[in-house]
Amino acid sequence: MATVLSLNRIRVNRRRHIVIDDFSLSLEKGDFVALIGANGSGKTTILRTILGFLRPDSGEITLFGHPAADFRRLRKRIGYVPQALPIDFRMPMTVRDVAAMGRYGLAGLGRRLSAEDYHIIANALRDTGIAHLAERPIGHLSGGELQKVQFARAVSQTPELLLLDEPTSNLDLGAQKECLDLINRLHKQHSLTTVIVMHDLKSLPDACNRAVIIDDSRKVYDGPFQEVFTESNLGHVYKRQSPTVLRGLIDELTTDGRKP
Amino acid sequence: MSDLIQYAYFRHAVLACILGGGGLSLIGVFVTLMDIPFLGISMSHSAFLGAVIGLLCGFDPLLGAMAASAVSGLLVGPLSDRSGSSSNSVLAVMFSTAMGLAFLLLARIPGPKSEALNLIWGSILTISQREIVILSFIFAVILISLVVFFKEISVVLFNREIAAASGIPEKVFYYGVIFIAGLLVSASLDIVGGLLIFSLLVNPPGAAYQLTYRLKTMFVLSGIFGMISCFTGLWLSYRFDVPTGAVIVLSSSGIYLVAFLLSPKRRSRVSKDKN
Repeated sequence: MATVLSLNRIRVNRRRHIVIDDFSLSLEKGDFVALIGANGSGKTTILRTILGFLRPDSGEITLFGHPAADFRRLRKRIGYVPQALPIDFRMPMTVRDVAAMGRYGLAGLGRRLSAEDYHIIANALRDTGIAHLAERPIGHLSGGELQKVQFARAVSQTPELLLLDEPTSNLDLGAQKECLDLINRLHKQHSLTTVIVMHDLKSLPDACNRAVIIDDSRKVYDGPFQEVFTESNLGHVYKRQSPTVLRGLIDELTTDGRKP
Repeated sequence: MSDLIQYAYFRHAVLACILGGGGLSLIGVFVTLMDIPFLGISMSHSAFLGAVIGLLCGFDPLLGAMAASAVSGLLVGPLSDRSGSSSNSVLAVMFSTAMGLAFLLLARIPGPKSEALNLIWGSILTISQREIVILSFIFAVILISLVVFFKEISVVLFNREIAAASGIPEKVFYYGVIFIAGLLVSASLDIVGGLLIFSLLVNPPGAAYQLTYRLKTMFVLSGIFGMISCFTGLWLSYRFDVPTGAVIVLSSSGIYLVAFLLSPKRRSRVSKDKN
């Protein structure tokens, strides 16, 4: 199996504060990993470090078998759906314009998109179920539709690694379900190596097969997703909850069919 | 009015309408969509400071104005990124600092200060051949950049983080736009003056925005509206013997008003509210 991503004992400081400490993670092709933790535990920092937006103070990052020195080149192979993207809905752009952005970095500076690029964009719109919205201005979309546009943009990048940061936050229940179905479908169709950041275990896609729990900047669990449902593990995610509440939560999650 | 074309000053004014009016309105699309309306006023006052320094030190005030705007333009992006402040806050600080310094130094210039103060009020009819050459160069840079790098510029406008995640050197484009805006503002000060230049950065793109859902169309319409504002102002000024800068600004406001009344966006908002 090819190693897509390897983080080796990385430490990230921000404003003289340790945000991630001694964190290691290795992903093989096709892995679907959930980074789970309470708010502020450092999950998003890990994604931003993988993208090169933040530089680790120590440790090594390897992306697609290369030391991650030239992030700008390697980023083109990563699809990224950020959390609560501050998009100006007034931006005079259509759904197709935004989906096409996934090809911009790959096309090269100052070069126009090719016929093949447009073919890939059309496929991404179709795969994400928004081909019928292609010419609609982004200001006319619902929150769920806009999130699908973000997925279409990431998919049109034909990524080898997909990073999703709380992709269902701020969506209503119906839109959340559609979004999770889409993530499952994309993973199945493209065997995409995926890292999803979540703080709510109830909202994880079924395709997820591995979980990593982060608490207070450190990794406290890394293993099969099905084995994550223990009182001690969930205590790291749902802080300050009594054992009774945690046991109730485990019952709720396991009867949802997440655990065999 | 056509008989005036034989005069160099009038030909320069017409060219300034195309190059300055069009260029400012194209840059104005960035200003509008990035929501940094303070850019115009901050850059023009940096230019004023540069001109004052030029007069005080005995070198060309236009050169001083352009150098000061260029330095301000280079500082805004990195300062706002590193301080975590919004670009508007950084621009506001730069504006007030430039104004304070400019008036402090202005008091030290012996004799009349009209050469520096002219930059505040401006007059399109006094634009020199040299200013036209500079404006032509900056206008060409803007047009060529827009044509060649449209896709990179559009993703930076959409979201800088997405641009960076796609492998686009977003800082180069973002900082570059602010830098060119600084140069263009300082080179265009004579059109309407430092106090009113803001209007050519905001009104034409604002009007264009009302009429389209396409970024490309917004750029084209904005450029055309900027030129029309300048030409209309020039004609009204000739016809009714009123200050040119002021009527250029009011023409651009008039275009904005018409676009707002005709806007499909406004009508869709009104019908949404009724539902």
